[in-house]
Amino acid sequence: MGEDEKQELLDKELVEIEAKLAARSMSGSPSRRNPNRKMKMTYRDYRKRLIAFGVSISVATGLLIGLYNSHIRKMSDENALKMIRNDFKESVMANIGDSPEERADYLRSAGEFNRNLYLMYDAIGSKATNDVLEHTYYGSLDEYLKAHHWDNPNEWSSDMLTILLVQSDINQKQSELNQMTEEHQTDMKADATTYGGAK
Amino acid sequence: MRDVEVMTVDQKDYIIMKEVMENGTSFVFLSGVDNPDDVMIRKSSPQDPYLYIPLESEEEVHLATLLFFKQNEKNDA
Repeated sequence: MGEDEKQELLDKELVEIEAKLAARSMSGSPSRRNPNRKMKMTYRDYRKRLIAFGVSISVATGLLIGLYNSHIRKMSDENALKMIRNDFKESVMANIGDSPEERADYLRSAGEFNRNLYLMYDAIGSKATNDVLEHTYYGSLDEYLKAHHWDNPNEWSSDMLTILLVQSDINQKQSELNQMTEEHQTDMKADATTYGGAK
Repeated sequence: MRDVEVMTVDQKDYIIMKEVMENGTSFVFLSGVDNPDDVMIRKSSPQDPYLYIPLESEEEVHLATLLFFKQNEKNDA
């Protein structure tokens, strides 16, 4: 599948998810809530649903563009930064998983669409993710943003990108990236051995 | 295992994945029990806090989606 076809499919998926969530949320009958009505759910299932919901919600808002246009332009830089760091990045990352093991688990189990969104989330907190994005068909964070029209100066300012890319834990992320790279190299060696490629 | 609250909307059961309070209104984020891809947002009625109604406009959907990312100690995993 070519790059244009992949982008076309992704765009189509984004539009469909957004329209579906909005239409569903604005229709139907009133419901009475009973706080005592409960069911048991595994933590894993709950987390999986939360991630899926987070992705749908992210798409519906136009992700960062929605945040930027609707709220952040009205805020001071200090408040905007606080919102991104606290209300957005941290909660999203918490939903995905905040340990290297959980993130690696998510990356392994996610489809390409979700995986790329995850990488986008992570990129908010880490320039190191750019290195990870090189291994996707986007090639880099810049290309990822461009593919979603987030590089448009009319929609997005370079200051905003700078804010987004400011992060305090780059060393930790870099460490995680190094670990993932090592694991990847180990897997490659194992594959080479398995398929007779190793000498 | 964790306990999750269930709400029925149009004869289908949904799990309340998250609840966020904003200016006295409760927004709940629902995921279908039988179909996790069936997701929606509802809000509490101004007249009856136990009655949940559809959102009124696309602007309100946008507000609610932004609220999803608001930290909520009660429901966050």
